[in-house]
Amino acid sequence: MTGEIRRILSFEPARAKNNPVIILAVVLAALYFIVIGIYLGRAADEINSAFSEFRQVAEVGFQESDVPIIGWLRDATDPALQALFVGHSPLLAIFFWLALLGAPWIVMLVASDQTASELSKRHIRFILPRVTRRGLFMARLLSSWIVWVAISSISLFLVGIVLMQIGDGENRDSDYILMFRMIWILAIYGIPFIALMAFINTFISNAFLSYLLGTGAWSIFWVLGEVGSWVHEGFRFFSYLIPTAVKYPLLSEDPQRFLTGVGGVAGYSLGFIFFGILIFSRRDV
Amino acid sequence: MNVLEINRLTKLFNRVAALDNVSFAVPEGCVVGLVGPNGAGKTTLFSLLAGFLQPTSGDFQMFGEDGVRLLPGSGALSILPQDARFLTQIPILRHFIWYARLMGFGPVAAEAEARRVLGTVNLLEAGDKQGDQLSHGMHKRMAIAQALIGSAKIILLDEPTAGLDPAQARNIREVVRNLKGNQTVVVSSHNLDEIADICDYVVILDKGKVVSSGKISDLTKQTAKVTFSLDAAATGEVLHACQALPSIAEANLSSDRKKISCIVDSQAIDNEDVVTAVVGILSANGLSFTDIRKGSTLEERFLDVTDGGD
Repeated sequence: MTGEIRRILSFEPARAKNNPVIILAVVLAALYFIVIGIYLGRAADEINSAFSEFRQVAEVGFQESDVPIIGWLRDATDPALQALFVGHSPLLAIFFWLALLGAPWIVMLVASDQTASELSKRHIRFILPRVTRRGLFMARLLSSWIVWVAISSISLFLVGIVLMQIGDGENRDSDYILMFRMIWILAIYGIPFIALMAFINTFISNAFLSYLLGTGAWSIFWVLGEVGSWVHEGFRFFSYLIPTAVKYPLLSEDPQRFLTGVGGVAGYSLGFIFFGILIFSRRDV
Repeated sequence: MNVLEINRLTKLFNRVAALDNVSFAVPEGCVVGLVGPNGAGKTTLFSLLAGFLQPTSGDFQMFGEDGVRLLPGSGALSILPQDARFLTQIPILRHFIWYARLMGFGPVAAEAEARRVLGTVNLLEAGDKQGDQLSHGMHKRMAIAQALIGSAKIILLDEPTAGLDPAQARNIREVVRNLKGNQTVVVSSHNLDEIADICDYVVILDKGKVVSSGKISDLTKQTAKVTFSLDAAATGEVLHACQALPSIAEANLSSDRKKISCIVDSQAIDNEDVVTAVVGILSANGLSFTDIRKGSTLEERFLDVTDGGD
């Protein structure tokens, strides 16, 4: 199957650069990263001065500030997030945190047209006599992941470099390490969302509707889990039905918790891939 | 040797049978025509054979192996699907090179193969056109060309000449004729003259069932039928007189009353006395014939076995 996937992927550059959904995803992703980069750049002085007073944020927690984002951070109690601010440029840390928060919206858009438009235009009927459905499913999943990695890593790198110049990071080497760590954390974090969209594409032959269903389901489970848990802690269960649950474990420097995150990525991804292939290999096209 | 054997293939859509226990075999190297009225199940059958649809029951064997398991990615079968579209904004040549690559061609060989099949349908110069720049006829011929990539052993062509002008249709018929012997081709069409022209065998479907199949020459021979084309409309008296002849089992008038078909006892078909007797009746009633044909055309056979003959 490896050779088959490689052959399918050989057409992906042509398909991707002519696919309006993928082009839109690239533009929106770039805009998202650039806009938060600009926002942070403008608020750089306030953020730097706020953080200069509490460098050991993991011990003292986030302080009050006039900068809204720092206000939001005060509610983020996860130790993995707090540790992100230790020994790194606060601008860079906030940028990565926002990148992580926005990633699902972007990655689901990037991955929303794996087989959808080919099913609706029935171009798939020209392909299927030549490839296995499993091979096509896996190749398109891999293709979406490659696009996601390209978008996220280039954006993170370029905006990160700029923010490092205007931040007051004490340790530049440590910031570079953090940047590369964030690049591959985002790359891994995107996998279950791409698998989710591959699964949805097997029964929704429209990229936009697939995106709506993916983000809609994700939002509903998130609201049920987060808001519901205010009412009863049992609602927290819904949070674990969506891949967002692995976000902070992946960010963690605690090896055990990090491995839990990686296991979560594998679990969600394999689950979506299994059911996706199951449906795709049996559905009429 | 049969390259394709279809066994009791059934496909239900919302509990309605689009195909109902369809069985027939396709010999190697021949051209088989698949005909039937609209909704007879021809496209459904092609879609099942190509793996686009999953059968509700039944199976098919290709080269003696389970078709459903052999098919995916094997390149053993290619198809002209009726409603598939190429991707917009990507040149057709680029599509074809990719299709060839998927079938195992190397980069250079894939481009050569793509150009070969474009040349086969006289569209070599149009390879740079994008999917959304093709006219209907051009798209149809491009879709036929993609089915020729890689010389699959079985080629399914779903209405290959529908919507083509006469010159293009002739080109496609020539392409199909040239495939005969090396590849096995199954062609569906509403053009029965075309089927009779290019096919060795025919399968007639109606309401999802095979109502007739066999060699075209056998189906149209119909030795028990003699048809007289008349120079004027016949009366009921002529019909009754023909029906009264001892060797004629049944006689019918066409709707315009200018054709009289006599079903003759098979032993009497070569007996010129039957023809002489009918000619005598015609002449006694002031009629003469312009043509006598023993046996039926494929169209008549088709109308006989489908509801079109009602």
